[in-house]
Parts: sequence; C-alpha cells; structure tokens
Amino acid sequence: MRKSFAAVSITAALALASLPAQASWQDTLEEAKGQTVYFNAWGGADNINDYIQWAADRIKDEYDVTLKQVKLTDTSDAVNRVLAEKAAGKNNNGSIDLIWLNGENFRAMKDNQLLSKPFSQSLPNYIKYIDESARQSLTLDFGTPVEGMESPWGMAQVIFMHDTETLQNPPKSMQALLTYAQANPGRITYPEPPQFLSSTFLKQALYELTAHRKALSQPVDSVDFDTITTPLWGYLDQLHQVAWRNGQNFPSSSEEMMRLLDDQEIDVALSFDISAASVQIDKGNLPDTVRSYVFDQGTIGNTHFLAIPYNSGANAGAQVVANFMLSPEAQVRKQEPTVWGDLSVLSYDKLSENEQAQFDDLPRGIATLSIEELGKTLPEPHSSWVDALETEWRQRYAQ
Amino acid sequence: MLSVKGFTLSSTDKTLIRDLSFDIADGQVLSIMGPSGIGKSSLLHFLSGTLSHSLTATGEAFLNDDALHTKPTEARKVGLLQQMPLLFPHMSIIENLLFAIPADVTKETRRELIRNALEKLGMSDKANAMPKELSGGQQARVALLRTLLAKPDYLLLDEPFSKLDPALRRDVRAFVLAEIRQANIPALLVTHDSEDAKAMAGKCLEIDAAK
Amino acid sequence: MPLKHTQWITALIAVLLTLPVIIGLIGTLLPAFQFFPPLGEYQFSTAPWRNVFAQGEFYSSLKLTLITGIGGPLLSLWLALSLLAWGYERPFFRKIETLLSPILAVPHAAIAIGLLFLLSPSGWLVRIFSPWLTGFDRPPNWITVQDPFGLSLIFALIIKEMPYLLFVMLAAMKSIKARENIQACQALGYSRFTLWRKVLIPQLYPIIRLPIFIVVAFSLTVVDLALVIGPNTPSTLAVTLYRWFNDPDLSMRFMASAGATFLMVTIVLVLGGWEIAHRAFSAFTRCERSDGKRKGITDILLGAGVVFGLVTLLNAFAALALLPIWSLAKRWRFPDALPSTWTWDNIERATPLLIELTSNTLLIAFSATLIACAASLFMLETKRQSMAKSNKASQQHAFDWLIYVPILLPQIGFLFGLHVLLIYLNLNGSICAIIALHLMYVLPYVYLTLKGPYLAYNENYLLQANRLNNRPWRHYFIIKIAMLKPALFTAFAMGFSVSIAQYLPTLIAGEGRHSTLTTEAIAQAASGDRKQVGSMALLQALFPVIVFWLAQIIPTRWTKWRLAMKNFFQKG
Repeated sequence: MRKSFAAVSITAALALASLPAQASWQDTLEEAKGQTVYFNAWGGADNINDYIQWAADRIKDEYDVTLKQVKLTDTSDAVNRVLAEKAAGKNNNGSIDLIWLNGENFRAMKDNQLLSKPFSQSLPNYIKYIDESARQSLTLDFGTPVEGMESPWGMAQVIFMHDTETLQNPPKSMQALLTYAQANPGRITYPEPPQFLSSTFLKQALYELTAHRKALSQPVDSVDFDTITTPLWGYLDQLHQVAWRNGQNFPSSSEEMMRLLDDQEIDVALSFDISAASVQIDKGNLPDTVRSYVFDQGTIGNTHFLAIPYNSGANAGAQVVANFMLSPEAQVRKQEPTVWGDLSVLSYDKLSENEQAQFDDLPRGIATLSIEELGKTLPEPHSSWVDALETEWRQRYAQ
Repeated sequence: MLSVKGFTLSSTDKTLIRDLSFDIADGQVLSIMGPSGIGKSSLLHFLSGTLSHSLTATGEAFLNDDALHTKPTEARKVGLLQQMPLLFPHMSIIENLLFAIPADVTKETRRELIRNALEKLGMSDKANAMPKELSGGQQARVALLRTLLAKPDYLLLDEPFSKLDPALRRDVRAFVLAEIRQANIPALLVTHDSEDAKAMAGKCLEIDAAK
Repeated sequence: MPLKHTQWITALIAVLLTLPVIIGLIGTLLPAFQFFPPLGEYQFSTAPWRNVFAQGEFYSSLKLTLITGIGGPLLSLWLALSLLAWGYERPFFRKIETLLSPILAVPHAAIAIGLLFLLSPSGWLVRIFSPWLTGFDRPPNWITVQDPFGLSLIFALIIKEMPYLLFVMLAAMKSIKARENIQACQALGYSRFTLWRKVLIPQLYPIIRLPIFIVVAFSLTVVDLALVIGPNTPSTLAVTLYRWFNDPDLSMRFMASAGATFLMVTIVLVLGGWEIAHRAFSAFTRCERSDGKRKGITDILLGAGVVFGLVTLLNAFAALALLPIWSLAKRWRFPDALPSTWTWDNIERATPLLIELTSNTLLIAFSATLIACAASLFMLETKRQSMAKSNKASQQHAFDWLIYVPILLPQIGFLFGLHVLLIYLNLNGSICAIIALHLMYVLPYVYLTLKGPYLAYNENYLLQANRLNNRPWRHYFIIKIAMLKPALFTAFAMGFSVSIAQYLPTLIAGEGRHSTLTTEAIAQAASGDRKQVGSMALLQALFPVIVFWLAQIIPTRWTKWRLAMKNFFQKG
C-alpha cells in the first residue's frame, strides 16, 4: 500500500514536471506557425540540398513552417553575417535563423555570444531519442562543451577511397601511405589547410605518429606543441617529396580529391562523408570500381549540429525544424545511401522496434562501409589544435 | 529686314572683327567673304545665339526693329544651314522634313507641305529613303528645305556649298536663292568662294583682318 | 538634356557615389586598428599591423600578387595592342570582334574552371595526345596549372582582360580618327606596325588609361579566379586575406583588415608606379617616333604579340567550348577526348531551380543596368555642359575618378563595412539592396563605355533640331539618344554582363536570400563538380551573350523595323 502510494506520487510528480515542458513545446509549435526559417547550410552537394528540400516540404505540411535553405560556400560566411549584424546593432530579426555547423565555427559563435539561449535539450525528440553518453562528440564539439546551444544533426567519420582497378590493397596506416607514395611518386596527396578535412587528416596523422596521444584532448596552450608534433612534420617533409605535384599544390576539398581520383591523377582520396563514394559512383563522377576503407587503427569522427543565432526572428520555427531533423523519419531518410548516407545521431536502443527495423532495412551503397566495417572512431582533439596545426603547416609549407 | 550694328568680335588676345554694320532686306542675300579664321562663322553664331564662350562679341542685331541679340537661341526663329547637311541619319527623308514643321500645323497641311517640298525637289520617290542613300546635292537640298519648313524669320548660311561637287554647286545655289526669294526672308551667307557670292545676286561684304 | 543647375546635380551624384565608399573604407580601417565593438574591442592598437608583418606568408603572398597583378595586365595590354594593330578594319578581324562578347560575358570562375580542365595534366590537351603520342595511360605528375610562379594565373588573367582591353580600344578608335591617321601614314610609306607604334598607340593610351587601371586593380585583388587556378602554397594576397576574413577564429579579422588596407595601399602604389613607368617610357621613345624610319626591329614585338594573342584567344574558346560538353557528360575519364557516356541528368537536375534563379538574375541585372544607363546619361550631360562652358577639350571632371573608386578597391574587406551600413539603413537582404550594390559595380563600366561616343556626339544635330522647333526634352530623346543607340546598347550589354557576374555583392547585400545564377554556380563550383559548373556556366553565359548579340543587331535594324511597322499600321 505504502509502495503503491509512493508509486502514485512519483507518477504525479513526473506528470507535474513534464506538463509545463509539454505546454511550452505546444507554445513553441503555435508560435512557429507561419514563420519562415532561413537555414544557412553549405550548398556544395546536390543530394544534401535535395534532402533539405524534402525536409522543408514535410515541415511545411506538418507544422506550417517555411524552411528556406540559404546555400553557403563556406559556413563562416554565415558567422560573418551574424557578426556584421551585431556590429550594426541589429539584435532581433536577424537574417539567419538556423546554421549547420560544428567545431571551430561553433566555438567562434559561442565565444562571441552570437548564439541563442540553450534549446536543444528541451526538444521533444532530443529527450526521447538521444543518449548523450553514447558518444562524447554529442556533448563536446571538438572539445567545446555544447551546453544545449546546438542540436545534433548527423555523424561523420573520415573514410578513404581507392579504385580497385589501379590499387588492390590500399595503404591502411600513415606509415603504409608514405611507403606507397615513395613507391608511386605523385599519386598521394591530401587537402590543403585550412580546409576542415585537411586539418582532420593532420590530426589523424598526429594520432598515429605521436607518442603523446592523451595530450591531444588538452587545449594546445597547456601542452608542449613542438615535442608532440615533431614526428608529424618529419613525416610530412618525407611525404611531400613524393606527393602529387611534388607537394607544391594541394587539392582544396574532398570533392576535388574525388575528381582527381576519377582523373587518375591520384590513387587515394578521402572524405568526411561515409557514403561519398556510392553517391559519386551513382552520379557518374567515379568509376564503379571505387571502394571505401578505413585505417586499421580507426579514423576520426565527429558530430555536426544545428544552431540558432542570438538575433533570429524565427527562434520557435528554428526549434521546430531542429526537432523535426531529430525525428526517426528524418534520420532514416538521411542515412539512406542514395539520399545522403549521413549517419543517424539517435540512440538505437531508444527507438521502437518498428523504427529499429527501418534502420535495419536501409540498403547500403556499393561502396559504403557498414557500421561494423567503419570500426573504431577516434575522438576529435580539442578544437584549439585545429588552428595551431593549420598555422604551423602554413608556416612550414606555404611560404 | 535684318540689321547688325557695330558688331565687334574679339578672342582673349586680339580683336577679330571691329565695328561691322549692315542691313539685309527681305528676300535678299548678303554675302560675307574673308579669309578663314577671321571670325565669319562667329558672326553667324552671334546671330544665332550659339557663340562659343571663349569669344566675346559686342554689338546689336535687329529683325524688323526687334532686338535679336538679347533673346535666347530658341526664341529667335533662326534658320541655319551649315557645311554638313546634318540630316539625322536614323530618320527617313520624310521624317527629317516632318521634323521641321511646327507642331501647330494640322496633319493634312503637314502632308501637303511635305508632298510639295518633295515634288519641288523632284524626289517624290525618295520619301522613305534614308539620308545616306542620297547624293551630296540631294542632301544639301533636303537640308535647306528642312530649314525653311520650320518657317524661320531669317536664314544664316555657313558655307553650305563648299562640300559639293563644282557641277552640283550651280544647281544648289540657284535652288537656294529661289527658295529664299519665295520665303521672302533676309539671308546672310558666309563663304570664301566668290562664285557663291556672285550667284546670290546680292551685296557682297569683304572683311579683312581687323587693324 | 536641357539640365539646369548642373553643379548641384554633380554634387548630389558625387555624394551618392562617395558615401558608400567612405563607409566601406571606415568599416575596414577601424578593425585594422583593432577597433571593433561587436568583438568587444574598443581600444585602438597597431597590433593587427604587427601581426600582418610578422606573417611569413604575407610577404610571399604579396610577392606573388605583385608578379601576377602587374604581369597579367602588362601582357594583356601588349597582346591587345598587337592584335588591334594587326587586324584593325580587316574583314576577318570583324569576326573575331564579334566573338569577343562571349568571353566578356562569361564569369571569371567559369573561365577558370574551363581553363583548368584544358591545361591540367589530366586535362583535355594532354588527353587528345594520349596515349597514342605521349604513351601516358595515366596523367603525368606535372605542374601545368596552379604553378608556384603564378604563370597559369597570369594566363587566366590575360584571357579575361585582353578581350576587355580590345573591346575598349575598338570603342576608342573613332575618337582618335584612326582611319584617317592610317591612310595618311601609309601614304608616307610607314609599315602597319610602325605607324601604330609611333602614331596611334601614343594617341590611344591616354583614352584607355582608366580601363587599364581597372584591369590592374582587378588583377591585384581577384579572388575567384585565383582560388581556382592560382597557386595555393602560398596563394595571392587577396586569397590569403579572403581566408583570414573567413577564418572561424574571428580575431583573425583584425589582421585581415590590416592586410586589406595594405592591399589598397599597394593598388595605389602600383598604379602610381605604372603611370610613372609609362611617362618614362614615352619620354624615352619620343625622339624615336620622329626619326623618320618607316620600319623598325621593335615591330617584331607587335608581331610576336599577334601570335601569342591568337594562341590565347584559341585557348579561351577551347575552354569555353569544353564546359558545355561537361554538362552533357556522364562518364568522361582520362584519356578519353570525349565523354564515354552521355546524359541529360545534369541539365535536368538544374532545371527546377531555373525559373526562380533566372527571374532573380534578370530582374537585378535589368534594373541595375537601366539605372546605371540613366545615371550615366545625367553624369555625362553635366560633364559635357561643364566642358562646353570652360571650353577645354580634356577637362577632368569629378566623376571621372570618383566613379572608379569602387572597382579599384578590393571587394574583400570593403564590402563588410558596407554590409553594416545596409543593416543600419534596414535595407539588408532586399532586392533593392542587391540592385544598389550592383549599381556600384555596373555604373563605372556603363559610364566608361558610353563616355567616348556621348562626348564625341555632334551637338549640332540637337541644336539644329531645337532651332527647327524648340522642344528640348523631346528632342534629347528622339534625336540625341536615338542617334546614340549603338553606344547605349553596347553600354547596356556591358553593364548587364557585369551585373550577372557579381558574386560577393549579391551574397552580401542579399544575405543569401536571393539566389542568382552566379551565386548558385559558385556555390556549386565549391564542390568542384565540372558537370554542375558546366551547366550553370552555360546558363550564366547565355543571357549576357544574347544581350551582347542583340546590342549588335538591334541598333542597325531599328529604323528599318520601325519604318516597316509604321507603314504596316498606316496601310492597315
């Protein structure tokens, strides 16, 4: 009796606690009706743009919120715009309602108070489907605490690509990569810093080459940068001698690397998008003999997010969009290889059986690795490493 | 009658024409001759009100005792015919002529005027031709008629025959004189060809460099 | 135009032109001295300058910028003069002239991407000779593009600038009475190249000085072209600054602003140096001009220029012709000279967006260019009147240099300050703001193209018209404007293509809310996908090419059509 009373009172307490939460989400939905959300997102990939358009149609039908994608060539354009608005004192009705970002851009916006108050942890789908303990990158974006100021959207991991016609057994470690380059001069390269994939390659190399892995999770000021990175520079000095165009040029992006792979100028390309190879084969941009692979020791992975600027005029609408993006419906479609192939951020265990089955049934592209094949995910080093590595790289190799 | 009294023209450093006076009766042509650079054309610009700012002119001009020199160009009702016929190249002949007829003339009369003018020129078939399809002599005649169709009160001719073939000149001169007689307005001709002056059958004034 | 109070109109337009420039400059200068309230910086300091000068990359970038930014225009000028001297008034050269407009019309980024595909080791030139001649089954590890010396960047600059200079020169030929000069000199027994060198080029140069300056400033500050085909270790200074401005670490902005300020100073110094060099060169060659020699060994220089000029043009056309092929390609691998599988997919994928993009693009381009034409007419009329009053043929008017300031300044940096102004005025993100910003870049080109013909117009036609019957406003349009049709149409086409090609101004003023063909094309160029870029570049080039073509055919047929229509209605 006493037990059941206790149970009742707990239920009551829960009901009391969740009522205001639900009520305020209802308010948000009401407020969002009729709003237009300007979503600033990198627009370099057709398939991703198409996915966003699909989401926009769904959101319009269901919530009467208009989602408009503003296609960026570089996410920092959006950061600059918010900054310009702050400079002009335009503190409400700003031009951007939602940004797709992570890492350095997030840190820059957070540090300069360009983001709205925390919102993500009160989104219904976040509460229902996200397990924060599943991945460090859900709460620590490149070492910067998320603190509810951005809502997770997808997960990415570095993959490598090779054409089985020209290269049967691809090099699966940094050392093997160098050995291969020395045997085949001019066929190996990596993107140019400060491109984000490039810093990821440098971090990947640093992980494998340095003796001080643990120091990488610390801010760079608090460790001995020179000692830790000496092996990296020694490695790159050797690699550049036998690299594509003698290390005097570097491709500017993953897309350019895939183009060079297709043109047979290089033998190994890399991407942060696990289904990149399948998508590009489908479009005719890569031969169907291309396959993806990862390094034996694992590759770096991270989470990308959606954030709301402090001066958004459609904050409620932006929250509705972020919440929809976290729905199993949106995440399943996003993970479909021919749509985008971006990994879901939802906790598999928190899904219903039916929803789990939808994920299980997803087809895989011919060149996409399964979750098991992707293997171990290495965490991103603290975000301060990005700048330090890039600066040092440019000083050494770009003068 | 067009009268000029005490016309003096000077540039910044010297006097070009000093104290020139003359009268021209209606239907008469006065020819002015002199070496180039003497300021003959400037006299015409003085009379039409378009004198360059780099020159200074004093003196008075009257049309039937009405002061001209105080009026702006557009109020003078002056007809000016220059070396170049200046037919607008993007308009047909008929349009060029129509262009000159004052706007208050009725549509019927306009047509009539044009028809007569073209017949007079013997160019009825050229009504829709473009200026560049006409010979130099034809252009000169059209230009004169265009000037006269605007019903000017006096006419200024700035070497209008100098660009024509010698053979054509005689015809055009005769045509011009006949038209002036018919319009019965005073005309001033500036030229350095004594044949021009003779053909105009009027008085001739020779200017020398001012001393 | 029967304008009154010309000095007030002059003053008003001058203020409208200067104000945004000054605000843009302030927006760059303040952060260059560490003053930037949004980032919590309220203290002036020279730290950004110390940071810039401590960067090794700054010096190497600057060196590269100077090499490409001076080399490109110098070679462009040489080749353009050579081609003009060689072909002027020859029938086949007329055909080349009509082919210039597509090159003028195509946006820089598209040309650069086409050129990259033509010249890179896996590019089309190597493909057509592989493997049967070269023996290459795979592309060689050569550095033919993005070379560290910037040669490929210089080449791309020449391809873009030489046609523009040729275009400007052709427009200026009438005002120096080229034909009469040539006839007179040839009667005296001068060879073609020598008479150009001694007689025409010295007359031509002062008229095209400003266009040359524009070209120099452009070469020193260009971003999109250098991003695609320029070297990247290091890049040119403009690209380096662009990267600093876009760095997620917002404090880089101070260093970037200081660098942008330095770049502006560099432009002024280079232009000053260019002018001094030109004067020294003319003084040096002055006596040679009148030495009576009918031929000279330096003629070889012009002769060689013709060969290089033709090679350059050929490359440009090849690069342009290859892009549309990409838009139809599915698989096109090395060493195939043509795609192995074809598809309509690339074009189909682009179509849904087209209606919105096209209507935005045309609305902006037409409005900006029409306003620019009207403004240019006002400005030229006030200039003409003040010239007539002071009776000097070559009076320098305030507009003549004011108007060029926006295009002589680097877009990066300067536009950020302007964006802040737009936000203050609450004009940000609207189509009007885009049109206004486009106007800043369109107006100089329209004004420049219209200036020669407008001032050379024989005012007697208009005076004669007003003597015949005095209706000054009406006559201004039906006589003067009607006679200036060819020049107006050309100026319109020029302005139109400039507007179509604007990327940063569209993005900044429109805040990305209004996409145009160009913003879309460059967003896709970011992905390096040649198929997408091929389709977009095709569309982007299409409208300017059509407008240029119409500008050539309409004025010559206008009167004929008009009369035909009139006759038709009269009969009907």
